[in-house]
Amino acid sequence: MEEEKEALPILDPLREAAQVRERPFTSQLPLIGTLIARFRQAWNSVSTRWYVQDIVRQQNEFNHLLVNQLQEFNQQLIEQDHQQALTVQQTAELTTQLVRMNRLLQSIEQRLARLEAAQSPGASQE
Amino acid sequence: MGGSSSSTRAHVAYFSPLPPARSGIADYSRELLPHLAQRLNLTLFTARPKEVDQSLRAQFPIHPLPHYPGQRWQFDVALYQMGNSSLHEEIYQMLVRYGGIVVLHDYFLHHFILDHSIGRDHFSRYSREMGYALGQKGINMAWNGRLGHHPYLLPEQLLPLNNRLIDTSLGLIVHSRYAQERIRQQHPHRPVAVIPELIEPYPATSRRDELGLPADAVIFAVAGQVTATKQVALALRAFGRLRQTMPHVYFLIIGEETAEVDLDSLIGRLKLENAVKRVGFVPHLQQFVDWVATADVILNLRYPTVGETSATALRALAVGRPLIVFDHGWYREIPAAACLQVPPLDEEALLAAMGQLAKSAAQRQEMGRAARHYVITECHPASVAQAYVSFIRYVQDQIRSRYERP
Repeated sequence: MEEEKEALPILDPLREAAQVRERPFTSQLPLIGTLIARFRQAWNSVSTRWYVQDIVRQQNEFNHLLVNQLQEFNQQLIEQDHQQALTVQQTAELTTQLVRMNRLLQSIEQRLARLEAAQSPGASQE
Repeated sequence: MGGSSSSTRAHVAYFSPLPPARSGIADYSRELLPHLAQRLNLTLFTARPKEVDQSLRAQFPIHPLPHYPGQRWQFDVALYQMGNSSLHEEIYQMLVRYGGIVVLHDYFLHHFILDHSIGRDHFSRYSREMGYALGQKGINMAWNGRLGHHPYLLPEQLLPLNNRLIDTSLGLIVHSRYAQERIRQQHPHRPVAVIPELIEPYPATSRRDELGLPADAVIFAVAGQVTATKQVALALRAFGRLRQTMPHVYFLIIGEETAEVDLDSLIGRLKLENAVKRVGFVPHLQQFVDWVATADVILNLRYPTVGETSATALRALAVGRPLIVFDHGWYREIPAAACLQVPPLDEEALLAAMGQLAKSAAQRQEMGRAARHYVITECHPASVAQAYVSFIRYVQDQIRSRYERP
């Protein structure tokens, strides 16, 4: 009778942080703050925006390439981890089987030794 | 009943916390080992062998865990007792490295994994386990927790994080069909056996005289550490309502009280000061069993469940006391003749069940007989030990059939 709860969204923190975004121009000055911000915005559009945007674009491309690579590595590590677990399980099986074989071999050796002892010249004269 | 001859018995490396470790699994091993020793050649591996109870050291060779790798060629199989507590840290590291048969006492191991990783300042271990379970999504969830977007353990995201343990095992022993079904959903080819929890019945003496209650009093009790998941507040609310029509009912709280549940406020608010008796922490098992036997009905209302089997519930059954439980998890598998099962958190259903048992001494006695019968036939250590041996042989046969030509 568990209530259904809305699942929290699973954020990808790395991908979120990889995106470089322009910051809006602001000013904390009373009364004229809004005017100052607008002036800054307008000046930026004319003088530097075209230059900065290209740098931001290059940085974002690099960041996302890096995030993709890292997540690719994560995926490889996870697959290797699963493989390793399988190897541990198979090794445990082989160990169990090997111990059994060793015991069987010991038993056979003991039986052979008894047979040889029974068939030795000293034994046949009895 | 004699054991099999030493030469035909399997040699087993047995990993477990051992007494005096304060752990239900340490107690479990103490009760099981003498019965297993009649059927298997055992060598014990544990974290601090020199601290182990003298009685066990006298019966068994006991080695530190790091000695196992050099000795493992002597053993037909390794058997690990695994639970959801930090006492199993070194055992867990051994079993994921070397594999073997795992007795999984708790299906959900998320709390253990948190302690194993973040609790020891190894966040990478946690993200690794989450990645193992869920891939990149799991890693994102781990990082969201680390960055404070949400707590690490959210109920709706509670994962068992037992995947690696199951994948490295040769086979698993669990105590409920609940756990078995979940394992089989993920790993349909892994051998999984349900072997009941063991309980060695203790003779019990009621301590009713010490409570100063009327002779016709019907006592409901909760037993074990008083935590929020035991739903004591719900039990007391239902009890309070019952008492309005049945003033001869009383409530007994047996166990260590914790900060999670403010019993003083709760009992005061419900005006049950004269109807509730509190025993507190009981250090010795025999005393605990005596207090359980003092009650007429035991309420075991754990919610949510993490796939656990309740030793307290089994102790109650062993002394012939009927249970009221929620209808979920392992509790659903307790024979209906020995317990009343109610929908989880349903106060009305709980009230009705309590009223039903309060009214009828005959029903309580009949259920008590069924409870004792269940424990004697299903949970006796000798039966459990024999089931262990059968499962070990089964796993060995499965391996043999894969590697040897018919």
